[in-house]
Amino acid sequence: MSDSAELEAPTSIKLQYSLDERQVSFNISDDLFPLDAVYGAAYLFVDRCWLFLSRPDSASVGVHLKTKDEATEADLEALAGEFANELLNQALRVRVGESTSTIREYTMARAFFTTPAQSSIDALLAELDAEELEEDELEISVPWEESGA
Amino acid sequence: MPDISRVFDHTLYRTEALSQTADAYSGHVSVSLEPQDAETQAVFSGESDELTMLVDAFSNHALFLSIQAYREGSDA
Repeated sequence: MSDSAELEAPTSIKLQYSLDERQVSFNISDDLFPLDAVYGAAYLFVDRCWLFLSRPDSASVGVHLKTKDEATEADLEALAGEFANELLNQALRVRVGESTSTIREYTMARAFFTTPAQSSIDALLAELDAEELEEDELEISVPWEESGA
Repeated sequence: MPDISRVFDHTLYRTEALSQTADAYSGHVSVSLEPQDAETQAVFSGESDELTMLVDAFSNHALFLSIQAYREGSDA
Protein backbone atom coordinates (compact mmCIF):
# COMPACT_ATOMS: atom_id res chain seq x y z
CA MET A 1 0.00 0.00 0.00
CA SER A 2 1.49 3.34 -0.92
CA ASP A 3 1.76 6.32 1.39
CA SER A 4 -0.40 8.41 -0.88
CA ALA A 5 -3.24 5.95 -0.48
CA GLU A 6 -2.97 6.00 3.31
CA LEU A 7 -2.69 9.74 3.76
CA GLU A 8 -5.56 11.91 2.81
CA ALA A 9 -4.39 15.19 1.37
CA PRO A 10 -5.57 18.15 3.45
CA THR A 11 -8.05 20.39 1.75
CA SER A 12 -6.93 23.96 1.34
CA ILE A 13 -8.74 26.70 3.18
CA LYS A 14 -10.78 28.82 0.84
CA LEU A 15 -10.22 32.46 1.57
CA GLN A 16 -12.65 34.91 0.07
CA TYR A 17 -11.27 38.39 -0.47
CA SER A 18 -13.13 41.59 -0.94
CA LEU A 19 -10.55 44.30 -1.44
CA ASP A 20 -13.21 47.00 -1.83
CA GLU A 21 -14.49 46.21 1.62
CA ARG A 22 -10.99 45.41 2.98
CA GLN A 23 -12.43 42.08 4.08
CA VAL A 24 -11.30 38.47 4.10
CA SER A 25 -13.70 35.64 4.95
CA PHE A 26 -13.34 31.93 5.55
CA ASN A 27 -15.27 29.10 7.17
CA ILE A 28 -14.08 26.93 10.04
CA SER A 29 -15.51 23.63 11.19
CA ASP A 30 -17.10 23.22 14.62
CA ASP A 31 -15.64 19.72 14.81
CA LEU A 32 -12.09 21.05 14.63
CA PHE A 33 -12.47 24.27 16.56
CA PRO A 34 -14.87 24.48 19.52
CA LEU A 35 -16.70 27.73 20.21
CA ASP A 36 -14.39 28.38 23.15
CA ALA A 37 -11.42 28.46 20.76
CA VAL A 38 -13.22 30.66 18.22
CA TYR A 39 -14.17 33.10 20.98
CA GLY A 40 -10.63 33.01 22.37
CA ALA A 41 -9.13 33.99 19.02
CA ALA A 42 -11.86 36.55 18.33
CA TYR A 43 -11.27 38.18 21.71
CA LEU A 44 -7.63 38.83 20.80
CA PHE A 45 -8.53 40.31 17.41
CA VAL A 46 -11.50 42.41 18.41
CA ASP A 47 -9.38 45.53 18.96
CA ARG A 48 -7.27 45.02 15.82
CA CYS A 49 -9.91 44.70 13.15
CA TRP A 50 -13.64 44.52 12.53
CA LEU A 51 -14.89 41.03 13.21
CA PHE A 52 -18.15 39.42 12.28
CA LEU A 53 -19.10 35.78 12.85
CA SER A 54 -21.82 34.02 10.90
CA ARG A 55 -23.33 30.55 10.55
CA PRO A 56 -23.13 29.44 6.93
CA ASP A 57 -24.40 26.06 8.12
CA SER A 58 -25.02 24.32 11.44
CA ALA A 59 -21.55 22.73 11.55
CA SER A 60 -19.33 25.67 10.72
CA VAL A 61 -18.64 29.26 11.62
CA GLY A 62 -17.97 31.96 9.07
CA VAL A 63 -15.23 34.37 10.10
CA HIS A 64 -15.20 37.79 8.46
CA LEU A 65 -12.18 39.95 9.19
CA LYS A 66 -12.10 43.52 7.98
CA THR A 67 -9.17 45.85 8.41
CA LYS A 68 -9.70 49.31 9.86
CA ASP A 69 -7.38 50.89 7.28
CA GLU A 70 -6.60 50.30 3.62
CA ALA A 71 -5.18 46.84 2.94
CA THR A 72 -3.76 44.79 0.11
CA GLU A 73 -4.56 41.17 -0.60
CA ALA A 74 -1.27 40.21 1.08
CA ASP A 75 -2.29 42.14 4.21
CA LEU A 76 -5.64 40.36 4.29
CA GLU A 77 -4.00 36.98 3.78
CA ALA A 78 -1.57 37.72 6.63
CA LEU A 79 -4.45 38.76 8.87
CA ALA A 80 -6.35 35.54 8.08
CA GLY A 81 -3.18 33.53 8.71
CA GLU A 82 -2.61 35.17 12.07
CA PHE A 83 -6.19 34.48 13.05
CA ALA A 84 -5.87 30.84 11.97
CA ASN A 85 -2.67 30.46 14.02
CA GLU A 86 -4.34 31.94 17.06
CA LEU A 87 -7.30 29.64 16.49
CA LEU A 88 -4.95 26.63 16.66
CA ASN A 89 -3.34 28.03 19.79
CA GLN A 90 -6.72 28.49 21.47
CA ALA A 91 -7.93 25.04 20.39
CA LEU A 92 -4.84 23.52 21.97
CA ARG A 93 -5.46 25.51 25.17
CA VAL A 94 -9.01 24.15 25.32
CA ARG A 95 -7.87 20.56 24.74
CA VAL A 96 -5.10 20.79 27.36
CA GLY A 97 -7.57 22.36 29.78
CA GLU A 98 -10.00 19.51 29.26
CA SER A 99 -7.39 16.76 29.52
CA THR A 100 -5.88 18.16 32.74
CA SER A 101 -9.14 19.13 34.43
CA THR A 102 -9.19 16.03 36.67
CA ILE A 103 -5.69 16.56 38.02
CA ARG A 104 -6.39 20.28 38.55
CA GLU A 105 -9.54 19.46 40.51
CA TYR A 106 -7.61 16.89 42.55
CA THR A 107 -4.84 19.39 43.34
CA MET A 108 -7.33 22.05 44.37
CA ALA A 109 -9.28 19.61 46.51
CA ARG A 110 -6.08 18.47 48.22
CA ALA A 111 -5.05 22.06 48.85
CA PHE A 112 -8.40 22.92 50.40
CA PHE A 113 -9.23 19.81 52.38
CA THR A 114 -5.87 18.94 53.93
CA THR A 115 -4.15 21.16 56.51
CA PRO A 116 -0.42 20.46 56.44
CA ALA A 117 0.46 24.17 56.36
CA GLN A 118 -1.73 24.98 59.35
CA SER A 119 -0.38 22.09 61.43
CA SER A 120 3.21 23.15 60.77
CA ILE A 121 2.40 26.69 61.91
CA ASP A 122 0.78 25.26 65.04
CA ALA A 123 3.87 23.18 65.70
CA LEU A 124 6.12 26.24 65.41
CA LEU A 125 3.89 28.24 67.78
CA ALA A 126 3.93 25.40 70.28
CA GLU A 127 7.72 25.24 70.07
CA LEU A 128 7.97 28.97 70.72
CA ASP A 129 5.62 28.69 73.69
CA ALA A 130 7.70 25.86 75.10
CA GLU A 131 10.89 27.91 74.79
CA GLU A 132 9.33 30.84 76.60
CA LEU A 133 8.29 28.61 79.47
CA GLU A 134 11.78 27.20 80.00
CA GLU A 135 13.89 28.28 82.97
CA ASP A 136 15.94 31.40 82.36
CA GLU A 137 18.96 30.80 84.55
CA LEU A 138 20.86 33.85 83.36
CA GLU A 139 17.75 36.01 83.77
CA ILE A 140 18.25 37.37 80.30
CA SER A 141 14.54 37.72 79.83
CA VAL A 142 14.05 39.73 83.07
CA PRO A 143 13.35 43.37 82.25
CA TRP A 144 16.17 45.73 83.28
CA GLU A 145 13.83 47.79 85.46
CA GLU A 146 13.15 44.75 87.63
CA SER A 147 16.73 43.44 87.69
CA GLY A 148 18.11 46.91 88.60
CA ALA A 149 15.61 47.47 91.36
CA MET B 1 -27.05 55.97 2.47
CA PRO B 2 -29.24 52.82 2.18
CA ASP B 3 -30.06 50.76 5.25
CA ILE B 4 -27.68 48.00 6.21
CA SER B 5 -28.99 44.66 7.41
CA ARG B 6 -27.01 42.08 9.33
CA VAL B 7 -28.02 38.71 10.80
CA PHE B 8 -26.61 37.73 14.19
CA ASP B 9 -26.84 34.03 14.97
CA HIS B 10 -27.80 33.28 18.57
CA THR B 11 -25.22 30.51 18.91
CA LEU B 12 -22.57 33.21 18.41
CA TYR B 13 -24.21 36.42 19.63
CA ARG B 14 -26.32 36.55 22.79
CA THR B 15 -29.61 38.41 22.58
CA GLU B 16 -28.78 40.37 25.75
CA ALA B 17 -25.46 41.41 24.23
CA LEU B 18 -27.25 42.66 21.11
CA SER B 19 -29.82 44.66 23.08
CA GLN B 20 -27.13 46.12 25.35
CA THR B 21 -25.09 47.12 22.30
CA ALA B 22 -28.17 48.69 20.69
CA ASP B 23 -28.65 50.78 23.84
CA ALA B 24 -24.99 51.79 23.85
CA TYR B 25 -25.12 52.85 20.19
CA SER B 26 -28.53 54.50 20.31
CA GLY B 27 -26.96 57.96 20.19
CA HIS B 28 -24.89 57.13 17.10
CA VAL B 29 -26.98 54.95 14.83
CA SER B 30 -30.60 53.95 14.47
CA VAL B 31 -30.88 50.19 14.83
CA SER B 32 -33.93 47.98 14.76
CA LEU B 33 -33.53 44.49 16.22
CA GLU B 34 -35.90 41.74 15.12
CA PRO B 35 -35.22 38.69 17.30
CA GLN B 36 -36.32 35.31 16.01
CA ASP B 37 -35.74 31.80 17.37
CA ALA B 38 -32.22 31.20 16.11
CA GLU B 39 -31.07 34.64 15.03
CA THR B 40 -31.64 38.35 15.29
CA GLN B 41 -31.87 40.51 12.25
CA ALA B 42 -30.56 44.01 12.80
CA VAL B 43 -31.38 46.82 10.42
CA PHE B 44 -29.19 49.89 10.66
CA SER B 45 -30.23 53.21 9.20
CA GLY B 46 -28.87 56.69 9.25
CA GLU B 47 -27.58 59.46 7.07
CA SER B 48 -24.09 59.33 8.43
CA ASP B 49 -21.27 58.58 6.00
CA GLU B 50 -19.85 56.45 8.73
CA LEU B 51 -22.82 54.07 8.85
CA THR B 52 -20.76 51.12 7.61
CA MET B 53 -18.10 51.76 10.22
CA LEU B 54 -20.77 52.08 12.92
CA VAL B 55 -22.27 48.72 11.88
CA ASP B 56 -18.82 47.13 12.12
CA ALA B 57 -18.21 48.72 15.51
CA PHE B 58 -21.66 47.54 16.65
CA SER B 59 -20.78 43.98 15.61
CA ASN B 60 -17.45 44.09 17.44
CA HIS B 61 -19.10 45.39 20.60
CA ALA B 62 -21.85 42.75 20.49
CA LEU B 63 -19.26 40.03 19.96
CA PHE B 64 -17.15 41.32 22.84
CA LEU B 65 -20.16 41.30 25.21
CA SER B 66 -21.16 37.81 24.01
CA ILE B 67 -17.65 36.48 24.72
CA GLN B 68 -17.70 38.08 28.17
CA ALA B 69 -21.10 36.54 28.97
CA TYR B 70 -19.96 33.15 27.66
CA ARG B 71 -16.87 33.20 29.86
CA GLU B 72 -18.79 34.33 32.93
CA GLY B 73 -21.27 31.54 32.29
CA SER B 74 -18.49 29.00 31.81
CA ASP B 75 -16.73 30.06 34.99
CA ALA B 76 -19.90 29.90 37.07
